[in-house]
Amino acid sequence: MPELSRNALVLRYLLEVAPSVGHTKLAKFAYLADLEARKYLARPISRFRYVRDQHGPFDAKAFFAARDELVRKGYMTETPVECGPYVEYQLQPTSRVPEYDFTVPEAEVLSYVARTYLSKTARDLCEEIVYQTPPMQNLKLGDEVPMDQMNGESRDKLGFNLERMLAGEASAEAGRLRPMAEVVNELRARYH
Amino acid sequence: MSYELDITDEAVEDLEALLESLPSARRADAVEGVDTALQKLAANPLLAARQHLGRPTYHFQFTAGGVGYHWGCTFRFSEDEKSIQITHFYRASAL
Repeated sequence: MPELSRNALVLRYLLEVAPSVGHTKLAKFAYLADLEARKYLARPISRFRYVRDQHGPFDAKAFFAARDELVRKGYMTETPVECGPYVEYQLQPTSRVPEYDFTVPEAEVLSYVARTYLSKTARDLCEEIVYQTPPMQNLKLGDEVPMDQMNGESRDKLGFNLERMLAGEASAEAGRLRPMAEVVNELRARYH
Repeated sequence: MSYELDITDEAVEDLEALLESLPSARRADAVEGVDTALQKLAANPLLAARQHLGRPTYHFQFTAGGVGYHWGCTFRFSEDEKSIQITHFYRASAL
């Protein structure tokens, strides 16, 4: 059994790919990763239950519980940094690495989100990306964010399949490839 | 100059499953439709967009037995950037 809760593992993994972020960006990365996971895998990665908070989708209680768990167990440090009149908290992974139990597609989704949005400021991330996501539309403060609406738009068994794409990439990486012309010729012989 | 086209075993299986899902009289047309679309991609990879966790993704349409189809594939470039390596084929949506 992992030493950390699922939510703590999600935050720690995101932080490993995107170190030195603050609470806002880390929380939004988790939200976006859950959205992508629901879209491709029809399930979230974390156990967060998002509500429409003052600063977007957030599960404050669970987020800070996961943060406390990471700090307490030595997987993360939190340093206050002055930003003008405000104090922001910079989060850093420590050298202690937990045993992750993510599937390959889950890890890919987490990495993708952290890599893609790392360079955005917290404000731009919220305004340009997070607030524009479908579940965030037409919500009042305190409303539960209807994440279910993102669950696997298409369950077409011949539709896009993240696991199969990743398996294909692993094959390509290992050099298991054939010329397309050879495959087309075989198919022509079969069907003409 | 066009890129070379390579395909993984998984993508071959995907393509075969897509073809087998069609009425048998349309499969030959579909093979030609896929080949034509991929030749266009090989000549101009900018036809692809970044989708599916940022992967190059190419959606194409063809007609088989008078019926329109809309399929897609994901791919990556080889390290020497001479070839396109197709990693997954899928049904994009009905026309």
